[in-house]
Amino acid sequence: MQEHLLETNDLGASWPSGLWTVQEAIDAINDAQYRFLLDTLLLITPTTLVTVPNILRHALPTDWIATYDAQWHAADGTYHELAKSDGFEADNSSINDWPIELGSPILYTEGEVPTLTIQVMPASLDAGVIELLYVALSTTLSNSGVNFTVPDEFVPALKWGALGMLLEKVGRGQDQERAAYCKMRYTEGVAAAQIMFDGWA
Amino acid sequence: MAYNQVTLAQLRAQLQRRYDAVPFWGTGEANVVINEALRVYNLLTGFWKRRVLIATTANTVFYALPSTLIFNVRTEFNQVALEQSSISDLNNGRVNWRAETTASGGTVPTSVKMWAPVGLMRIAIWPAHAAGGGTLIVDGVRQTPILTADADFVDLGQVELDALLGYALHVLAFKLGGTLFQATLPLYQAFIEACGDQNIRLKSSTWYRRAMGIDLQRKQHPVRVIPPPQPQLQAAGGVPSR
Repeated sequence: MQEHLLETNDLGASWPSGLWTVQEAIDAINDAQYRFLLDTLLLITPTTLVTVPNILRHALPTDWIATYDAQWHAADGTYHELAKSDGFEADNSSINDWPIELGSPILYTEGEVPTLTIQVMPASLDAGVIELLYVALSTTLSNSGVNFTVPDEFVPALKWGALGMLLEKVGRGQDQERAAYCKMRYTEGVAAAQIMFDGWA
Repeated sequence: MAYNQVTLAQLRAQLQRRYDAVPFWGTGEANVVINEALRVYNLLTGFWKRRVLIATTANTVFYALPSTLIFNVRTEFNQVALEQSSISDLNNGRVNWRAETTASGGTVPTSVKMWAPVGLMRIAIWPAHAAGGGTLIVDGVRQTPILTADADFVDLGQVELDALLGYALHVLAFKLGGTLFQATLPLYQAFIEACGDQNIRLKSSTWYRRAMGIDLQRKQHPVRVIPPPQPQLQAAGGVPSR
């Protein structure tokens, strides 16, 4: 990144031009990685949320970004999918008494509840658990040799995404034309991930 | 086209012939962009592949792929090819698929039949192998070979070589900005086209059309709509009226 922006290459220790700071560059790379994971659902982590009977809302993992799949694992060992929904749909469905009646959860929502919280509808009446596949936050990058969470093949896309953020900064270093190019290169990585998931020719 | 073993030193020498000898770019920078070109090429084409073996454990649905694989392309179980599915299809097709194993009985097969990607680095199988001790054979895209020493090499054909060096030159020119950088955009497009020749799915993507400017050409040349012929009124006897 330093070489692309005509800064001295000292592995990110300083940005002598004064157009950007070390922390800005690090934050841009971290933001690019977070956004990339959310845009692509690239790395999925399984986890189990232990639920409490008669409780609607449960805590999500602290590194949660997005849910990929949610399954209800009942106490008898059977599974069924929890469909992503919202309160309006639940209120107008066959389980419209979900706030007060217990049952086997069939819906979940993350949109109408506090952050890092998942709500099942209706609340469970047994000791089942939520088996969650979710996108986890990446390891925070710094200048101290932390590896990227995404595979190395996607790192160029993150680099271009971070460069785009730096070049969009209002000030002497702004270059909208190259920032637009950088955004296009970032979407190249997103498109590559989508093609991978669709399958190769 | 025959593949040749090309070393980092040879790649760098060919790249350096393409820009001004006055050292606006150092050797280290040239090495970095060459490796970036290799990574992006592998990302867009899956050029480098490998096979890994994963032992199954009893009743396990999810298996993590080794970090040397980027993405799984094909899976076998005990040398029998598995059909590719998806988490969504499995959820819709068999509600209780996660609990089913090869020992479940009923309509559940007695051998693993399907696999589904769970992100890039994990797969799910159905049904889970009840006994464990079987072997999943996974063919996938491997990590890009990265060249660090001058004698490190990769196998490349001339077409790939030209495209990769063009990409590297284009990335080097980014720091120049302005018209000089714009002038190298055809090199990037040639690289993308070479990737599309290797991976046909890339050519069908919206991103490819935008990167190649194909959508732009459509906007600049709108299709002319030819109105349908109007019906003509005719006088009695079949003579067209004026």
